[in-house]
Amino acid sequence: MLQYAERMFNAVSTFESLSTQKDVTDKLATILSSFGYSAFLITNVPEPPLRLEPYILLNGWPKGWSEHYSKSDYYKFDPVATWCRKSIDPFEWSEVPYPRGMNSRAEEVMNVARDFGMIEGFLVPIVRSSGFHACVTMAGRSVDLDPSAKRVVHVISMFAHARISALGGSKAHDPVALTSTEREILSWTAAGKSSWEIAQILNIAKSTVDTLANRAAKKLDAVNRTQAVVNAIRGQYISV
Amino acid sequence: MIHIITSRNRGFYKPELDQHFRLRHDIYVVERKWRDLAKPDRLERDQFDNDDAIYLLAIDGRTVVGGSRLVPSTKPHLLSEVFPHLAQCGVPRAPSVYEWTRVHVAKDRREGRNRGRVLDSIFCGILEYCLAEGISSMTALVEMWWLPHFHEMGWTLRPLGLPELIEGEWSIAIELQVDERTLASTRTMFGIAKSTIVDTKIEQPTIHRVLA
Repeated sequence: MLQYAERMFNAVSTFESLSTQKDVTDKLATILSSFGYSAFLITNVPEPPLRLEPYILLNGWPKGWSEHYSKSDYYKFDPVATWCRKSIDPFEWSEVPYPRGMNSRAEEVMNVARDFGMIEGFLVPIVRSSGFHACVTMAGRSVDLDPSAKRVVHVISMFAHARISALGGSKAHDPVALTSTEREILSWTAAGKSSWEIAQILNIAKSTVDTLANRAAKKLDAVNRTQAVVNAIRGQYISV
Repeated sequence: MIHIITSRNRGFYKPELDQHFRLRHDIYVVERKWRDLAKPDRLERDQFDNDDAIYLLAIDGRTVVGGSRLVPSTKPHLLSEVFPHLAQCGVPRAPSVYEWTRVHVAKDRREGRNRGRVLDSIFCGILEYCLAEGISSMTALVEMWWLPHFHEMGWTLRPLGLPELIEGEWSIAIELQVDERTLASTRTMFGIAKSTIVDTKIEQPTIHRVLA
């Protein structure tokens, strides 16, 4: 167990010292392959009908798999992605429930993944303070079955994701950073409250509510407040 | 606002400390079902709630709405006495290292208009206090789902061992570095511009107050 703890400790301090996304990616690939995982993906996990592709932070999937996944519109059927959006704890792909033996699309996703050499899969969910889910997911043919290995991978995945995000890799496709007040205003708007009512509830001026709502709309790439709410709910920035 | 309570001023804070222990009972024993901590007086106190403990309480008016506790790492603390097996890389012990435990927010302050606010002020307050007191890092035992939140605030973390299941939650011992940069990034994240710690002046010796 000590040997596993040291591997984790070394990996985490190495991540700290790396200054480019590519270095972190290469280091992560080396570490994961030492546990038997030959492929991995770091991504935000949006709610369908949003598509996965714009939310991917780092793509280390086997050649051809991402293209096939995208072309066949697998994301909305992928049982691993669905399970990830409901999970806090890491899980094996094999633990994910989906109807088997019924020619479902979910089963097709898993079978084709297997054809691409992704036999044993493991996923570490990362739940951000906005409530938005991200994850590090990985797969290989034959993996380290020691329970300590899973715990090392759990920790390393979280630190790798943090480092990649800190190095700005996620900027282009990162879910918008809304402030807590902006989120609250959108939540109340979603609940049907007017600016005046929200101002009363939050004990701030109506003009402030309007200003913040417009700013949130801008951040969410929306033309008005209603559309901002729709986008925010889809992207899980607010809960109703 | 955050009030700092140490052995020097706790006489002034008896009602608030009682509220604090009752709130901890409601959260840790009733809500989280950590039955081992249950006491007949419904006050959650353990062996580390002694004269060395420093409390950072979030108090709104006269109501304690959240808080957390610091214990010197040079004295017996949770990680050294109860969970040393979670620190396979060793338990850091030094005068400038404190253990941070029992970070909590009252249930009715976690939702609605005050969502996040209490926790934000606790995060800023703890960093501010540590910087002022020369505490350079804190050790903590946290559920794994805290890690992304610390990372988002720009905190530097060092795992001290492998995670283990505690009360059904994957938990890990970590060391959190305290520096000006961390306080700055945390304040920026929450839009907090100034100190969240109340300057009570209670710690001044009585004679100063009389002269003033």
